[in-house]
Amino acid sequence: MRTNLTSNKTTQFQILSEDQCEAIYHNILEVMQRTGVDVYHEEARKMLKEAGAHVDGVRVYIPPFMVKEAIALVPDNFIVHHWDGSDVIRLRKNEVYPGTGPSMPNYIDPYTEERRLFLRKDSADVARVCDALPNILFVEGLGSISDTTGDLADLYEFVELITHTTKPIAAWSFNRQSCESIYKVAVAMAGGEEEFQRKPNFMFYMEPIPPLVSNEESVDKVLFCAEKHIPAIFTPCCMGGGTEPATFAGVITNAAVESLTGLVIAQLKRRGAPFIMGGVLTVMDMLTSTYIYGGPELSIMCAGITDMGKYLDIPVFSTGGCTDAKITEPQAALEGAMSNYTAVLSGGNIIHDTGYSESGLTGNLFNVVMNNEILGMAFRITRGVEVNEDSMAIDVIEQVGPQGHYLLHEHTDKTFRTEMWEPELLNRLPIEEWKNAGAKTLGDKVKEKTRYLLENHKGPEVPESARKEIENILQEAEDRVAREKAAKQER
Amino acid sequence: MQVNQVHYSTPQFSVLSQDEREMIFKGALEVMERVGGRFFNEEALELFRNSDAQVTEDNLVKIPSWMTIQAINDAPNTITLCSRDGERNVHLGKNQVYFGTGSDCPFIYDRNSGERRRYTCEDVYNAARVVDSLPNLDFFMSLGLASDVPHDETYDRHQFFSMVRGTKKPLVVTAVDKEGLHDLYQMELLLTGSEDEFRLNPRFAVYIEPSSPLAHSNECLEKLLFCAENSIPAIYTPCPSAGATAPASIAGMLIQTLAESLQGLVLSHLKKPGMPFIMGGVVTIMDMKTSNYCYGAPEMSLASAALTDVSKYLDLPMFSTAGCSDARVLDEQAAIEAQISIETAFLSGASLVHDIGYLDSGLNGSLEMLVLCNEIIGMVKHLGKGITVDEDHLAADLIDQVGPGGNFLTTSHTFDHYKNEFFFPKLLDRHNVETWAAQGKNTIVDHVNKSLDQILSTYEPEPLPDGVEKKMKEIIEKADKKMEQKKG
Amino acid sequence: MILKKISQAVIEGDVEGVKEMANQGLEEGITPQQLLDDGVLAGMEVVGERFKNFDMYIPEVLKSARVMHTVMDILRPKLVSSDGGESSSSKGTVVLGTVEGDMHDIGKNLVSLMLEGAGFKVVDIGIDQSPKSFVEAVEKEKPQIVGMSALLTTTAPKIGETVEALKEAGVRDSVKIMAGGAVIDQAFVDENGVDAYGPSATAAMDIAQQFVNEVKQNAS
Repeated sequence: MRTNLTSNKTTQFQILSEDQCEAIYHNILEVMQRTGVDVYHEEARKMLKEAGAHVDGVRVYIPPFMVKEAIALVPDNFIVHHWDGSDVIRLRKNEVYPGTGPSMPNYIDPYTEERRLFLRKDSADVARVCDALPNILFVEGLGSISDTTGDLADLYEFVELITHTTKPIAAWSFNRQSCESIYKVAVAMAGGEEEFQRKPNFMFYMEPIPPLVSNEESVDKVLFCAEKHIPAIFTPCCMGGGTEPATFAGVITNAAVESLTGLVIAQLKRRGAPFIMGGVLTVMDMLTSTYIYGGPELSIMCAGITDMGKYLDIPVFSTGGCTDAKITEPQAALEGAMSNYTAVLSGGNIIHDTGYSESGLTGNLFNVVMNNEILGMAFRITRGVEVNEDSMAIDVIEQVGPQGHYLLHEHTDKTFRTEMWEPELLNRLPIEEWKNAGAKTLGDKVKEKTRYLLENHKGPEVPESARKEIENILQEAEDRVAREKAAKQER
Repeated sequence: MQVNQVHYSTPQFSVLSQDEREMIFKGALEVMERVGGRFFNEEALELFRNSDAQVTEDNLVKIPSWMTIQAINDAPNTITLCSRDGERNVHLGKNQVYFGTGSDCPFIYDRNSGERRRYTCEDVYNAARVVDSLPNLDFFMSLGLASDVPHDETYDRHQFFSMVRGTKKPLVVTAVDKEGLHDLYQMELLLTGSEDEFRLNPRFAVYIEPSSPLAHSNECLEKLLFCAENSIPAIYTPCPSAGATAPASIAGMLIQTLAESLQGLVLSHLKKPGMPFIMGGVVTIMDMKTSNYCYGAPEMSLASAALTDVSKYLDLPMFSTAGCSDARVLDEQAAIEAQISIETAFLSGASLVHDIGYLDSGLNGSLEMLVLCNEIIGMVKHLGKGITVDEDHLAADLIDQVGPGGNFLTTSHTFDHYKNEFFFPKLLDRHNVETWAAQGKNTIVDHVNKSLDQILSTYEPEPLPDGVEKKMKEIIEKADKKMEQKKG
Repeated sequence: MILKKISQAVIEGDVEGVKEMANQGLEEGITPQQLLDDGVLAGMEVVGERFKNFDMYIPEVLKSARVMHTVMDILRPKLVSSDGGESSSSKGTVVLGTVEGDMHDIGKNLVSLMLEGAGFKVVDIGIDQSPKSFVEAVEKEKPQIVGMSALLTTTAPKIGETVEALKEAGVRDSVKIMAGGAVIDQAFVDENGVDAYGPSATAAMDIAQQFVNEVKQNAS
């Protein structure tokens, strides 16, 4: 009988020490107080001023005590539900949920493989395929719909997503009106506002603008989310050497300042509003000026901001599964593997952007299917090595003995299913048999599987009542947009 | 002025806790005492008989734990491998990571025809040149198995000759048997000058593979004893597969693997205490549906990292595995498996990470894969730099100067830092889609091929010193003649 | 009914349950041959098919094989054919071994287990076996098939030497020869007078089956 035993139940990975986190935290507080942030939102500035910030025009200087109060108030963990009640995701330290990314203009057609504009039916396709993939645990739509009323692309996208998967959606919108409509759709899916308050079924994503600017729309949305208790992801897309300093510590500082400004505003609006910090932290390519999605810098800094989130005990929005490659090819594979694996190792909570390709300009569903396999590998590794009397198997080693084999031993039959991860797409056939099976590359198999899921996975049944409500919400929104258009023309 | 600061200068990664490392080690000691190992070599058995170990008639040797602990205590925790010029650039020890190829793959895809064919001496020479030219590869194993030789039994001399001609980087060599190793050592001494010099500045380590579970063939023991006698660094590394030649549980596989390595260590210690010894193991699984010996499975990366944790606990240099794949061609799978294994091996802090360039589950030594892995290693090493946190990097003053809504591109701070903080890829394509299309829609495989063509057509390794080639050839010819006579 | 149950027990790897089923079958008056053919081997056929389609894991297949042997042990005394042999309970005999100088035998072990599972009688002569031992084994066991494995390039040529030795002993034509191991490919087979090679244990099973069919056809 052992005692005083400490085991690594999972792998351990960290990039910042306690002292480094503290140093960055102090730096964040310094920037918020000394340099300040620009908040393009009158109501928010008023609230900030009343709470003790110094306001000068749009510039707001936030003293440390306000930041600390907000951090004390924000929940360090909360739950987002599948709308059908089948499952939940738990946003708390070191719980990892990978998923897709939002709103790119282009899409790789899963049949012609041509790059084209994103269509409404694609949103439904993306949601259905994600619904079927076991390692994609929340969903963003990959593309911005181009074939509906332009101002309502965000709303139509959300409707398609939530009606084709039960997995929690991270939604986005152009403005507060759409945000409200999206909320109504979510309420309809939850079965009423009270139900939604008890079991929120989506998160809302909005972006402050680096460096250090909170624009009107994003603040509008974060206030609405706080009011309605919708988990808010208030995170920037940082470009080191462009919109942020070229040093990792500088980028992480600014990213956190940008998130925490939203946090302070949200907590002033409603104490305990669920909130997620983080972002896409990367650098600018100094040759092509591309916003890099596949470089190691992204993995380093996302691991860094994740450690900061854990230090502050705030859930983190991390990044992985994305690429600068234009099509599904080995570059997309290795870049997706590096960022998703590192993000999973570091313990980012909501790891988004799987399926992002062409540096964030094209949604690629094949890459989502490919990353599902990568995430399976990552999860097998982070599960670690179990060390106990049974797994140490010394009796088994003795029974088999030198020059024996383990094929027939009961221990093998008993353990291999949990110890060994089974790939779905990776090839392990000998070369002859692989050739006989068509000599398919992983890319070929990914495409086949994507098409198979498109043709065979229907997604959930949506209750008729919810469907009707959603139709009404869409009609209302169309009417509103038509009215606004007419009013504009009259002017 | 800040005081009392502890920073992670690099990322921190581990699989096993201190307690678990100790449990694996104690488990191995238990196996060595209770189960033992079979040794098929008379000198080895004699050495054990003259020690406190127990030797029974069926070649079974059981070693008391104190002997193992003593052997570990006497083993060096740092070994330096040198380049042909005597540059001491590979320092084997805890948390210093070096990457290199694997050895003896039978097949290669022909660069011209694309056909899968047997490896030649020329291919090994080319692999050596490629490694010599790639900055992120630190040591060279033959990658391929030279088949265009007069006798299979003396292929190792021909192969070694191709290796030394192609690269100055430190080598890990394979030999058929003791005579083969003796000849390689003689060939190497032509370059090193003397045995004393080699002992201080060894150019190569020898790869030796016992047979899992718990058996040590005559050839492998002869080589190990030869290394001990001459203080040549020996890598004693079994290749178990969980569920077939090792327990299906990773912890059990680690215990057996460690016991196999340490049985070799104790023997070498009996021959010569403190000889340079590197532990290791290609610890992977047998795929339970195809029976494939997996080179790309996540379990391999996980188990290798765990064994590395144990090696750090014992303070012995570790021979680990990465950059290899079960993909049959250079495709997305090869890229993923290379990436995950290289990142894990690097983070774990293994000393020598071999098998970079393996495709087809170790049957194909791919030059293309080498070039791709060079890029991946670069990315991973960049990740390994961690996050520098000091006043300059925190950049509060700069942020204040630029202010909300400003831009950092034109600041001197950016100019001063971007070259160090940013990674500059050789192969990754970051062009916009228009430029990419105009350039011919290259994938990374196209970039790999271009880069490889460039290396193969232009890279000239430094020639061997005058007269050495001739003397080496004499050694080879002598061995071939002897083999001919033996065969009659 | 009981036949179906036995098939199911084979497929599910129910070693304990099958004993009772076999005895019950005998009590019910079903012939041993029928229990074997329509119970055990029918089940093994499903197992083989599933394994080939990657619907079953190796340890599960091996467990099924264990069930099969359990039943065989019960049936064997009752199955003895008129000439006193066991011909009716086995598809054929295979002599298996790893060639001289090679200690890598996991592949050979796997093939051995799979062949037994498929109903062959396997005589495994072990690792590091000289050409002479192969010849002796063939003379003694009179198999239909000889299987050789070699993992290393340095030991692979021993396969060719063994084929030569079988020729010299005049028993080459009485057997089909198959080879396996990482470095073995079609070119090797052609050069060394081997009849076929299998890149996997499943392939080896198929080849053995094919060999036996050919032998039977030639005989009839």
